[in-house]
Order: sequence, then C-alpha cells, then structure tokens
Amino acid sequence: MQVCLMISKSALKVSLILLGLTVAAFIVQKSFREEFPGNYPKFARPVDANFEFFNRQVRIAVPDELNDFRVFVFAHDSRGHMQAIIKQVVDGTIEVREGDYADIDVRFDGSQVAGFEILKRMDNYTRETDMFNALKEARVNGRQAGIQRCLYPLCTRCIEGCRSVISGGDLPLEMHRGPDGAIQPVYSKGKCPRCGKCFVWCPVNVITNTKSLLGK
Amino acid sequence: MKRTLIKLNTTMMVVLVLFLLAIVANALASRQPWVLFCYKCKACNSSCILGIDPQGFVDAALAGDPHVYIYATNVKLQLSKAAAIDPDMIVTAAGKKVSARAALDELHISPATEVVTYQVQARHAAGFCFRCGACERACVLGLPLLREISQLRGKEPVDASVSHDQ
Amino acid sequence: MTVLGSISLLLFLSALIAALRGWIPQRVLTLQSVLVLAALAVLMLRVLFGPPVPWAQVFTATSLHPITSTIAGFLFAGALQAAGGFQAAGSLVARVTNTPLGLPFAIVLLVNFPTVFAMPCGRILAAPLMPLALMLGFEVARLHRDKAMTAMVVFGFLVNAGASCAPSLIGGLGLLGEGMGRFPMGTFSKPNQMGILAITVATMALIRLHYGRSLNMRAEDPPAADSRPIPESAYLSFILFIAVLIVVVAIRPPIPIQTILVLMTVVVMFVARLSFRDLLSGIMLHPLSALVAGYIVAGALLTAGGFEVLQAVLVMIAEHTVLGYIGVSVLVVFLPLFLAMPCGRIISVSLIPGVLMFGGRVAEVSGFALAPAVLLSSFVLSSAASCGPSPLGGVGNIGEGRLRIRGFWSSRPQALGIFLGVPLAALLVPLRGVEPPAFDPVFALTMLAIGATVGVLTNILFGSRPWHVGGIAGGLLVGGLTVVL
Repeated sequence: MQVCLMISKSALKVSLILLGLTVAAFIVQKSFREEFPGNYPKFARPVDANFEFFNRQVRIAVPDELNDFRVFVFAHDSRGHMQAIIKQVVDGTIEVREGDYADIDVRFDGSQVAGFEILKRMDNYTRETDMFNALKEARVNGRQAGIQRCLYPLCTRCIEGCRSVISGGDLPLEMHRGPDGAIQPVYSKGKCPRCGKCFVWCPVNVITNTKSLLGK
Repeated sequence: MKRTLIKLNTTMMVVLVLFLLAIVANALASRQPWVLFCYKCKACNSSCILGIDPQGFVDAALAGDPHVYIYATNVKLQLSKAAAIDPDMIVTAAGKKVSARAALDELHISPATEVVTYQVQARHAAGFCFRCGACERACVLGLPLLREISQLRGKEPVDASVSHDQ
Repeated sequence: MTVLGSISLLLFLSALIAALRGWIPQRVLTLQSVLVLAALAVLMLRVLFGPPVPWAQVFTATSLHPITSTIAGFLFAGALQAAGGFQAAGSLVARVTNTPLGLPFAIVLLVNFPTVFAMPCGRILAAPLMPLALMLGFEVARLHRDKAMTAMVVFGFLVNAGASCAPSLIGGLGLLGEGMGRFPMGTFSKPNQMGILAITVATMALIRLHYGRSLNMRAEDPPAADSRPIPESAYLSFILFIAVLIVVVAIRPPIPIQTILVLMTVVVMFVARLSFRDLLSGIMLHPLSALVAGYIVAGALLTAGGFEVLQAVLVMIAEHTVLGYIGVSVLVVFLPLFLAMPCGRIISVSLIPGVLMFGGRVAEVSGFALAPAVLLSSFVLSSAASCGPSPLGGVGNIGEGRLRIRGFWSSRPQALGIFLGVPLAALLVPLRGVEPPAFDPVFALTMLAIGATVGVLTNILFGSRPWHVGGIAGGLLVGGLTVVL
C-alpha cells in the first residue's frame, strides 16, 4: 500500500494513456493474417529461352506462360560475375537492345552467391555494363547466359521463411548457381517441415504449392 | 499587436495544428498507424532494384491518397502501356523526363518503344513492386512496408499486365 | 521549367526574406503566419493558373519524425529538469572541472556529444541537453567575463546537434543520401562526423572572433546553484538517459527513438514522482510551429514545381556560364544554406536527384570517379546542418529562445561554420572510400588526429593554453568514440 502511494499519480496516468494509445493503434491497424497450407512446395523448371542475335539487339523467345512477367536476363562475364537486367516479357519475347545497361552485378563463391550490387542509382548507373554486349561476349566466349525467373539474390523470402521455422543453418532450401548459369532453389524434401512459407511468400511463382501432403 | 492581427496569426496557428492532425487522421484512416513512425531516411530506397522509393508508400498513407507520385526509376515498360496505366506518369524517354502523354503526343515516340519510369502514382508503384521484401529488410525500424504495398495493390488493382499476381 | 513554378519560388523567397529582414515585422505577422500565407498564395496560384492541385502531394513534403522527436525531446527534457537530472549532470561536470582536465574537457565533450551519439534528428539530444549547455556556457562566461562564451557553447552545441542527423545510422539524413545514391549504408557517416567537428569549432571560432561583438543577449545569468543535496533519483535519471543513449547507438534497436524517449520520460516520472506540469515546462512551441509551417510551404512549392525550377536554373547556369558543372556543383552543395529549411530532409528529397546528376557530370569532366559520392556526402552534411541556422524553426531557434536573442543572430556564424566545415568531410570521403564500412586503422588515426586538433582549437577559443590536457583529452575521447560507435 505504501509503495502504491509513493508512485506518482501523473506517471500512472501517463502510463495508462500510453497503454490506451497502443491498444487503439492495434485496433485501428488493418489486420494482416497470412495462411500457410502445410504442404510440400514444388519448383518451376529453368526457363527455356531461344536467343536470336541481331546487329543492335538480341531477341529472346520464352514460353508464353511468362507473358507480362519481369525476369532477369543474365550473362556471366570474364570475372565469373553475373550481370543481369530486369526485362518484361511481351508477347513471349524479350528484347535487349544496345544501350540497355545491367541492373545488378552478382558475385559468386563456388556455386553460391557471395554478394551483389544494384547498379542503378536514381536515374544514373554506377557502372554502365551494356547487356547487349555482355550477351554477345558470353556467346562468343562460350560463357553462360540466359533467363532467370527467380529473383534471388534480391529476393530471399523463401529462405527467410525456412529460417523462421528451422534453427541452425541446415535448411531444406538453398540457392545455387545451376548448370545453365541461373540461380535456382535446391531442395531437400527430407528436411522440409512443410511450413508452406516458401510458396506463399514467393513473389514470382517459382515455388508453388503442390496442394499435397505427400508432395506429388 | 492589433486585434485583427492577433486573429490572423491565431488562425494561421490553427491551420498548422489542423495540418498535423490531418496527417495523423490520414494514417489512422489508412489503417496503417505505424507509418507515423517512419524516419523517412530512405534506407529502404537503395534496396529496390526497380528503383521504387518504398517511403513513397508511407507518404501515400500519410497523405491518405494512393495517387501521390513517388519515385520508381527503373521499371521498364512499353510507352503505350505506361500511357494506358497513367498518361501523367513521368517516364524517361529519348533522354528526357516527360509525361507518358507528352512522350506520345509531343515527342512522337513510338508507342512500342520501351521507356523507363521515373515518377509514378503510389498505387501503380505498388503494382509494379515484386514484393521481394528487400525494403522491409533494409528498414532501420523494420516497418511492415509489404502490408501497405498489399493494401495499395488491393485497393485499386493496376493493369494486370504489370502485376505478378496472375 | 514553368512560369507558375518560377513565380512560386520567387514568392516564397520574397516572403522569407521579407520576414527575416524585418520588412514584415514579427509583431504584425509571425514568421509562421508569413510562411502559411505564402503557401496559401502559391496554392492559390496553382488553383487559378495550373492543372488541378494534387492536394495530397502537399502532405508528402512533411516529415513527422523531426516534429515528434522534438516533442519527445522536450518532454524528456522537462522530466529530466524537474527530476534534478541537470543538477546531477552539473555536479558531475563540476567534479570533472575540478580535475586537471578542467572546463575545456567538459566543453569539447558536451558540444560534440550529439555527433558522437548521433540520433536520427538532432533535436532529440538538443532539447534535453540544452540546460546542460546553458549551465556550462554561463559558467565559462562567468569565469572569463565574456558573455559571448555562453553563445559559443550553446550554438556550438546546437550546430553540432543540427548536423548530427547526417551521420546517424539509426535513420538519419545520411541514410537518405546513401539510400537515394545507392551507396553502402554508413559510407558517409565517419567523414560527416569529422566534418561536424570542424563545423562546430568553426562556429565557435566565428562567434569568438567576430560575431560575439554584435551579440545582444537578454537572458539573465542563472541563479546560484541550489545548495540542497541532489537526490539520488536525479543521478539515476541522468545516468539512465546516458546509458539508454549508449545502448541505442551501439545496438540500434528497431524501435522508434521517440518511443524510447517517451518510455524513459515515464520511468523518470515514476522514479522522481513528477507531475504533468513538470513535463510540459520543457516544451517550446515556436520551433515546432515554424517547422510545420516550413513543411507546408515546402509542400506547396513541390506541387507548384518550385524545386524543379531551381534545378533547371542550376543546369542553365552550369551550361551557359563560366562556372560550368564543377562551379555549380559547389553552389549545389551549399544551396541548403541559402535556402535553410527547418529540416534538411525537405530540400534533400527534392534536390538529391539533381546532385547525383551533377556528380555524374563532374565525374565525366574531371575523370574523378568518386565525384558523385563526394558531392552527395557534402550536400547531405550541408542539408542536415542547415537546420541549425534556419530561421524557420531550425534547431538554432531553441538556443535563441533560451538566450533571448532576437533577429536570428545565430544564423550567420552557424552558416559560415558549416561553409568552412563541409570541405573537410568532402576531403575525407575519398580517403574512406565508398566500400561497405569496415575498420580502417589509417582512417581511425585520422579521426583521432582531427579530434585532438579540435581539442587544441577549443582550448585556444576558451582562453586556455593550446596544449591544455583537458581539451586534447576531450578531443581524443570524441575522436575515439566516433571510431568505436
């Protein structure tokens, strides 16, 4: 009782007001609930792309299912870095013209991503890497070039989903540079807890729901 | 100070208070009260490959209007599509920053030409957004920007062709 | 470049100059009223002669963060004052001054405190630490029988606080530049901290050497210190404040700093059994209302295209005069000082695209690849610091209010101090590079050397021997803390 009397009344009032405001803020806030079906994920296959080189542009034919999607067009350079530009698929075609500069430079350590740099700042480029030339050089020198639908390393939401339910580094989902040069998810079904976060959070439908508890 | 001047100065102070209250009311009405905490430091800005300024989404909530123009400096799309989405959208075309309408009508640029956006309405930027969450990870306060983006997309869906929600 | 934008910009500049020069006396229209009326006039012009007004866009120029930071800072200052926290701090300072370190040590540490513990808005520290700056300022002025020394401490501290949002990694203005310029987070932080040390010492030197003569300060000397013993709760409150600051800067929790300040205020209220009235005693409305008025007028200018006109004029000067892009770049860096807004974010958001464009052109012309980084970091520092000299409710106004100085006297020494200090930050950017921040022994030694130099200069400015151990130790401590934190 004595302790209660010693406490400042104003301080108590302020605390109550703050508590009230916090509760009110929670009530006002739009509810945001995500549902994660407990199924196994399935993964989109690497994109089949057909490159056609012209004098000042490259025309890339991709499956119609990618229409209106934005994808990475990439080419590996002599340093082993991946230069990539984001392009929209229009009528099953992507055009990379002379003067289209790379948006991102990705470094690798073995098959894993060691770091990346976004190359455009506001409306200027920190480094101007002409993607048309990069694609041409990759073809001449037999280096990898192609289309990547997954947004890794920009987007890491599937990995974050995994990390949120699995402690330690032994994740069922890892990102590796594949044989075609594109970065793609490598999945170990045995380790998967079927939390469903990877396909709910994947923004580009590279990972989708099998809608099956058995993952078939 | 004369009485009239006192009244005038007091009115101006009231305008200031109302202005602040309007911002708070907008944040509450948008049902995203956390936008009031944003430092507007733009740490999120450097993480977006589409050059979208995620703080613009916060501005849209504070202004209570998804039509406010925000930076989106690296979205490539056909000029005809840009004009169809919003003719007043600012794009970089032929080395100039002009509205999509002016690019078509005044600069006579072919509608099939690929242009790069510069300033677009917040709701359209939300439509262009990949929702990769890079902005949320970059935010020093960890503000839930994706919630606001989802809300902006939901409120007035943009042309489906620029969205990934197919 | 539109006619409407040009007229709007001219209208704003005319209103601002008229208010500052006293052509529109404050007893007729307050500065806030002038600004709101100018904003209304600009909007009216847009309604009459432009396309429909995007009213919502007017709100986007406003940053609530500096406003809420100021309020939270004032509330905490009120609580700390009532709890006797400043008496406790004063007694701690007195103990330090009785050691061989003396007053110079305390001064160097206090005036540079905001930069060392850089907060996302300088007002967060300016408001609660102001009484301590006043206490120290009056003490040193009494010892040397020179009233200007009070202003030296107070405005040295305030210009430092105003600029300190530039290096803050918790959401400061520097992040805005790094974010928009896509440089790694923290790239500009250390060079800017060193630039701020230079700005602070330059401002104090300018007041000592020149501006102090025209100082008309109506504030009375504070009454003699209360001889009653300082309660333990006072020490506890002050130590809590410092401890929380260290934790916040060291671990950068994802909690708004305003929330932390309000929670600390409540804790201090509990500890010292304070009332509402105690809290409210710290609040000053003028800087707050001028800040909001500044945002409104900036929003109006934004909708009318005033900032676009400004940028177009700069490009025109660069292309058609002998100044060229390099000359105009220097002009651009210091533009925030000529158009000193109550918050650097207003002008930064509008002009950084232009700064990057100028940086790119300078890099092309000079072959100096780091030109965009140098230009941007200098611009960011100049913008952040410009809230110190801004008469529109800048952080300097808090000091002018407390010292009862009229006519925005402190604007000039602060602006000139910034003008002298920014080049140091610019010089350090190439030394530091634009790679992600990592420990660099050469740069750390440079920071320590700059700290020691600032200490020597502070010794001289406050009438001590240049090699007085207090100033040098204080400078080295400041340099060391900026390296570590």
